[in-house]
Amino acid sequence: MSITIDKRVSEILVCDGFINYVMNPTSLILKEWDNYFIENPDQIPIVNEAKQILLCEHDYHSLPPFEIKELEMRIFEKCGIKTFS
Amino acid sequence: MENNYSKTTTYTDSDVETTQLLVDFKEGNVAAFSKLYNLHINMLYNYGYKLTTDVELLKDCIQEVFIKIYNKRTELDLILNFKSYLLISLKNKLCDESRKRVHLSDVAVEELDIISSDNIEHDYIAAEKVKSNNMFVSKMLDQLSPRQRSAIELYYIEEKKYEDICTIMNMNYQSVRNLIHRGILKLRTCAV
Repeated sequence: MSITIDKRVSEILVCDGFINYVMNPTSLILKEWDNYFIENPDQIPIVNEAKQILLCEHDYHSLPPFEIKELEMRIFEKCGIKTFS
Repeated sequence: MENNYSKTTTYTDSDVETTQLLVDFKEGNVAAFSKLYNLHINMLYNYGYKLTTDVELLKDCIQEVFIKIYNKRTELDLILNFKSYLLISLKNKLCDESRKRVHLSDVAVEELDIISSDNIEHDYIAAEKVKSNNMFVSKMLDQLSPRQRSAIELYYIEEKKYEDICTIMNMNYQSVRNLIHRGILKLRTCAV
């Protein structure tokens, strides 16, 4: 697995609860995380860093366009979808 | 499901559009499936790249995630948040594949740095154990006299030599040894 980012950030990144907190923050989820931050203030910068990664705010990696298309074609082929390309 | 791109709809890059795309996809619009893929591929790849630098593995896992979505398109209503669903599916797939590769290779599990919820649980338990041990030690040290406590902390925690402790505490060598010895005896008695 990745050796480029802090282990503590990586661990937060793979937490389902964290992903839902960033991508689908309901009032209940936000309250739970607020309580977590009150009890664990040292975790705030770690969670913020993981949040930036999840929202693609820094150190952004993407596939080249032709590879994106190639992967799409592979998926369509596996799904049995015919294309015009 | 129409197996072509004939249906063309103008979509914009937003969560609202994702919801509409999911509806269209469920109704058989392959163009909507294509658009869903193109809207989220960069987010998925960027996230996955933080978990593995094996690009081929990552692409394979992304492929599996979208194939699963295609095959389970009738159940799309059950997904509360599509982005969360994609990210969690990819993470689970990467963990599964990493475990499979460990199983098939000669590399010991301990040698691999696989990030999973198991690690988080293990670390949490370890941290709690350390916290519990620290509390126990602190409670035990409270049973000692201030001078006994200082001498024991200097010797066992700060790892000072007897000679240094003599200087710090302004005591002779034998007195320091006696102080630490009596402190240890008291700790043993308290611990029973």
